[in-house]
Amino acid sequence: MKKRNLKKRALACGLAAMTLAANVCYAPQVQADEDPVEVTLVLYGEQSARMSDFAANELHDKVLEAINVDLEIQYLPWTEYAAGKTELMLSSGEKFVTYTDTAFLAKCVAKGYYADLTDVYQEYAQDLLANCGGEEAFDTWRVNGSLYALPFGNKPNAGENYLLMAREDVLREVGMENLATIEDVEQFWNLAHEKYPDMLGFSRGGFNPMIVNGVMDSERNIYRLNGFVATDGNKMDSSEVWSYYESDEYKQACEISNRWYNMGMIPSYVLSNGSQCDAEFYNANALFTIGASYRVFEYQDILLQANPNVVMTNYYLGNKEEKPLMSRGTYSTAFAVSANVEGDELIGYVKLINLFQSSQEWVDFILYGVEGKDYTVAENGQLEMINTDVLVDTWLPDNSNFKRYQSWVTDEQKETYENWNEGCIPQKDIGFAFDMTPVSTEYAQMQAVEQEYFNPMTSGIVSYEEGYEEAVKKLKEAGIDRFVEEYQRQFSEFIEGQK
Amino acid sequence: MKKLISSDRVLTGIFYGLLAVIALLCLFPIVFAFAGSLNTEAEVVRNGFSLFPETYSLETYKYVFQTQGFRLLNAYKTSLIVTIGGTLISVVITVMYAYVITIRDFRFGKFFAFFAYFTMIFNGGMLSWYIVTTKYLGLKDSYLAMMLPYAMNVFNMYLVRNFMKGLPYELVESAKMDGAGHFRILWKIVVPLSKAGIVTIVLFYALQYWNDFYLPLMLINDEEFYSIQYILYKMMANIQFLAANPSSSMAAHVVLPTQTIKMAITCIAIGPIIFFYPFVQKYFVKGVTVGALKG
Repeated sequence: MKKRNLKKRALACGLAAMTLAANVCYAPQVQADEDPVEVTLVLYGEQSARMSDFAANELHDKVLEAINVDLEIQYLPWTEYAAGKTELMLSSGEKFVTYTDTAFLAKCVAKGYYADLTDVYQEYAQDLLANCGGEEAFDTWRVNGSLYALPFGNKPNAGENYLLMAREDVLREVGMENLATIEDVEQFWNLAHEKYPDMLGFSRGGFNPMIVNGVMDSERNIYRLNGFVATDGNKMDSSEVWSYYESDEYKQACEISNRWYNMGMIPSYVLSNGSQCDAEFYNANALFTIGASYRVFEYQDILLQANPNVVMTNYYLGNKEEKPLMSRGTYSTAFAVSANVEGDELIGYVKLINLFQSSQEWVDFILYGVEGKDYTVAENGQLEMINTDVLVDTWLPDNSNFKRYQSWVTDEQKETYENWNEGCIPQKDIGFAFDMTPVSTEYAQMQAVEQEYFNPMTSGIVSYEEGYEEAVKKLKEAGIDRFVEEYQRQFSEFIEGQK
Repeated sequence: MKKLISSDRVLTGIFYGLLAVIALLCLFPIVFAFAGSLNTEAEVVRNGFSLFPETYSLETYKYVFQTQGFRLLNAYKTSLIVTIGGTLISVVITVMYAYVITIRDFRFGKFFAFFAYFTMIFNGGMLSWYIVTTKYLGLKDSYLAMMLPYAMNVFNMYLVRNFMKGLPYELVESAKMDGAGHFRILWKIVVPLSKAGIVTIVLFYALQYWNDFYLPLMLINDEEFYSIQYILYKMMANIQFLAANPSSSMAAHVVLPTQTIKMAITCIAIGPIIFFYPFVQKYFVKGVTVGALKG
């Protein structure tokens, strides 16, 4: 009897050991046999025909195989971004992941619309941590220590909107080398206008006062925390903020824009007919636009279709030593998950975003599709596209670790881009999200005043002397003082917390 | 025929002249849009829009159909199904509701009249509507999702009710005495006599369903169910957003023939309705006038 029991026990142990071994060997298989996590990714813009097919087939299958996620992609019009349907989906508790920005993040976190990712990102977003700027990049998306969005992309973007992008080919044609001062810009305009009388100065985006920040007669390196509130970007420890439109720097910028307007550099319809401005720009019929490091590639790529000689270059007006360029971090965007997603589902969502920045193979896959079907790789390593439909928008996964340049990009342009952030300083508000709730009424009224009274001055259409008094009176009535006071309170708390 | 005196003739001439001018003013935007859609983007940039472009080009239509091609045809199909199906459902429900609150001996007539009227003034707000529609009724990604939320328009219902009220009630009473039930009275007597009013709401509903992009925006994710108006709305919304945010990294690389495409989109969108309208126009005017006078 005892012997029989012993045999039985030995057999049971043996079976148990075999089962365990089998389970260990086939652990991944067991995971794959589990029901896949359903993930909805919301993107904005137009879905091309190829993208519809790609999302439903190759991309879906590859994601399922890699991380056991059943991916569905939905597209919404851009007008629904951070508003409308997106907000409705968030507030009604739908489960999805989509991109966000710091202002929308603050609003959504305050309303409890976003899932807290603090407990899952360390384990499941390893590739994002490694390839998208490290913990520093993640800090931007924390509120009170909790992480609410995953940074995505990695590109040098210091001085975004503080640069003047100009037609270098025309600059060379008229015998000039560089643009570093207001005088240089005006000289270039005069020479170019003489040679090409129909060509516009500014068009797409109009005039932005920040492009002349470097040449202001002021020691402050203006950083606009918000359209209405500015701080000195050079003084990292100072929490002082002020009303930008009431500053001397704004006055100086308006004087320049008004002079340029009178010289014909800024078209009269710059505010009233943005579409016309865009059309002129894309037809290579304008000299300037607002610059950013990566925008050179995007714009030049388009303009080359209209004029094969176009070369676009970013110029900084001023001295970078005195007023260095400021960087908001290197992310392209960040992905936030809606609040109802939790547990294993949340892990699935994080894994998906992580996967898209995990390797050159995955970045190529979501950007360019299937090799042999959508593109081929030439001997020099550059891609030759078979399919011209856009898959995932190129700006989204833009990552200098996985960058592929278009064939026309010169080595000099590559080098400039890759070293772009050298000498830059971080923006002071990284990790700060202003809670607009206490001053939302004031803000709405101020925006109306800005549009009606300040934008014409900013664009040079109305002179500062002529428009300032009434504009500032309206701004005061709208509640700028209360707004700045509230901003000061929150920003001081943030800066104090940083120390 | 009565002979017109000379002052009448002058007056008639002036009226015809004025009507001609107004008609031309109404026609001008459509002709302008059509001419604009045949312009090239480069010419528009160079010379602005013109009724008589220097060169005619189908580039913009080519762009629209190339980028949206098959989808556009599928969307036309969806729009037609929704317009025809939705109009049918709406008209049946509206006419029945109007009849019920018109009948004098129906006990709850006033309650139902008020019930409908109440929704013209108050509603539950967008969020509750969205939750009820998507989560409780499951109206997502289907043709019904684009029809049922608009099943009855209270304004149209009152229009038909006013029309029905204008009919001699003795007709209903005599039919009853002859043994007709409400169903027979409605379909054999009231509906044929309310033809002008019903045709008016048919047009109203058809226009509403054809022009609607809001329900697809809210309730449709599957592009198989995109309607023509939603596709066009999406295009325009993206163009407007990107034009309004030129400094954003998202906007920077997108290029679209913004000026001419707007005109082409207008022409594509008004297509079928512009052919449908002339056939029901006489009822449209008559129905609105009669409904308004007897309200």
